[in-house]
Amino acid sequence: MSQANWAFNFALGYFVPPAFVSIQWRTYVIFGVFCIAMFIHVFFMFPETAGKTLEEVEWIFENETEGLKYIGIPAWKTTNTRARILDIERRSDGHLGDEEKSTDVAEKQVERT
Amino acid sequence: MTVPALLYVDRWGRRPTLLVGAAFMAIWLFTNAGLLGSYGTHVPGGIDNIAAASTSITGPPSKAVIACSYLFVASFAPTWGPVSWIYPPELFPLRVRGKAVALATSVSY
Repeated sequence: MSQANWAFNFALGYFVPPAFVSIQWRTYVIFGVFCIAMFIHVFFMFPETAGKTLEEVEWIFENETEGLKYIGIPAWKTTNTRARILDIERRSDGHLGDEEKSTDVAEKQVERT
Repeated sequence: MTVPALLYVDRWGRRPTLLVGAAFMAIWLFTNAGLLGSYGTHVPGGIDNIAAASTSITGPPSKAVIACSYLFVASFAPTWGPVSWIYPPELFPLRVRGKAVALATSVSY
């Protein structure tokens, strides 16, 4: 299972030149179809993790109430929460994560989830 | 081409970056296939006897093939390249992150 990237690149080195000999331009179609498969895979299975704390990302997978049963929140319903995190950082005055010095109530609430 | 990713991937978010990158890569690959299929001529035995160079293409379509190959790499570099490294560490909780990212790197280095 490890080094799968190297293994597949090695296999490509054996596969691609004979493919160019036999099916010529259709080799590009094979890789184009792989790209479309990547698109579908990301759309359905990759949740958005930008602008989220560790606990929020874990909550995406463990959320039984708002999401599906063994999957959590579906990937296409997750969004980039960058604006909220930036706002918390700005309001905490550089003391983000500091229990005593931080004056922001919302930030303390985020830490407790 | 990685530098725009360094600057903007937090603003774009991981999913839009990956989706847009995959879509562009597919577009350039299919364009290449179409150009070589319509304007290329099959050279049996290959150009200069290199078997893998089996299609000959000349004129403006040849420049388009070069451009599409370049654009394919240019749409991989800011999207799938860096985000492949950014995404696994963000996904896992702290307890398993070391081992999980080690596995991810071993699979995808």
